Amino acid sequence: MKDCPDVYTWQALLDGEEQDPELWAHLDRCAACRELYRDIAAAASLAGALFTGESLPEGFSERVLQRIKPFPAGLVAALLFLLLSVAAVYADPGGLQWWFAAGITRQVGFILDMLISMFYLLQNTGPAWLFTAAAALVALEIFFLHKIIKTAED
Amino acid sequence: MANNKEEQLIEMIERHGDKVFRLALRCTGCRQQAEDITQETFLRAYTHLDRFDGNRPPGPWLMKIALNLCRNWARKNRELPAEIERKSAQPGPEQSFLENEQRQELMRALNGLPEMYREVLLLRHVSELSYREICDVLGLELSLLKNRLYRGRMMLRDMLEARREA
Repeated sequence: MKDCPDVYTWQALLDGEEQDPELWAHLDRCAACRELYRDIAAAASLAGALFTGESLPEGFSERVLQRIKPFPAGLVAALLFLLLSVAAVYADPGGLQWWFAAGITRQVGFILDMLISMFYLLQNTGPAWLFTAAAALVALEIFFLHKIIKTAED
Repeated sequence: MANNKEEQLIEMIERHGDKVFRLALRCTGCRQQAEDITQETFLRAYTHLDRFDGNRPPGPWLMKIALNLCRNWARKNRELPAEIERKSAQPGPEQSFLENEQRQELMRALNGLPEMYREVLLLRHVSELSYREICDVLGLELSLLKNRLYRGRMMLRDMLEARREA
């Protein structure tokens, strides 16, 4: 009894985590350990009923793959920006005068650089942020368009 | 690169999807919730695939994500499931009714266990993970895991016996 393995060893043997053949030989000759082993096996068998043979629903992989397709928000933002810029010039050909009149010509390059950097940044950002950035760009464009038209009217 | 990532994701779903789904199903008791948790597990894995050490097996990592999602779900939904929602309604003969009763008993007993024992039992008996994998998922020493598994099984047996006697 003194040299008998502990309950955790018997449990590991039962679970296939312990492979020592000497343990089986010990079980053959030790009634107390056999009793202990049976006790653990009965408890493990009850817990084994927790197993459910369920498998993933049909089409699971396809549904996951659909969810990882990125929304091309960066491209949408760039297209919207381009579209609104062209529209602004066509809507009011003299409108660019406002830029000069406002005295911000030197800042235009800086703003464009910033927008390009933002574009690169957005490429590495999640779809939600990209969409927010696209919305912000649209809002900015609408603001400038409104300003240009108002200046032209004045 | 993106294709490679997608291929890795599909391989992970094929190899570990069922285990994750079973765990989620046992935790929530609802097929739809279980699928949501399983999808979220693989989406998170996909997002963080670049940071994952490719030399390590992905199984424990995925189960860790799934287990955290199950814990969050359990926190939001205080009442743990008494039974798993069936795939389709099967009008039951007596045998089916009795089996159903036994499963419900088992789930109630399981839900009566402290979380640390319940999780070990779920990972071992539902997801069929090895001792080493469970240690990785839960961040436990092997000796502690053996202790929790042994005590968890005995507590589950005692609870079932007490319920039957009552």
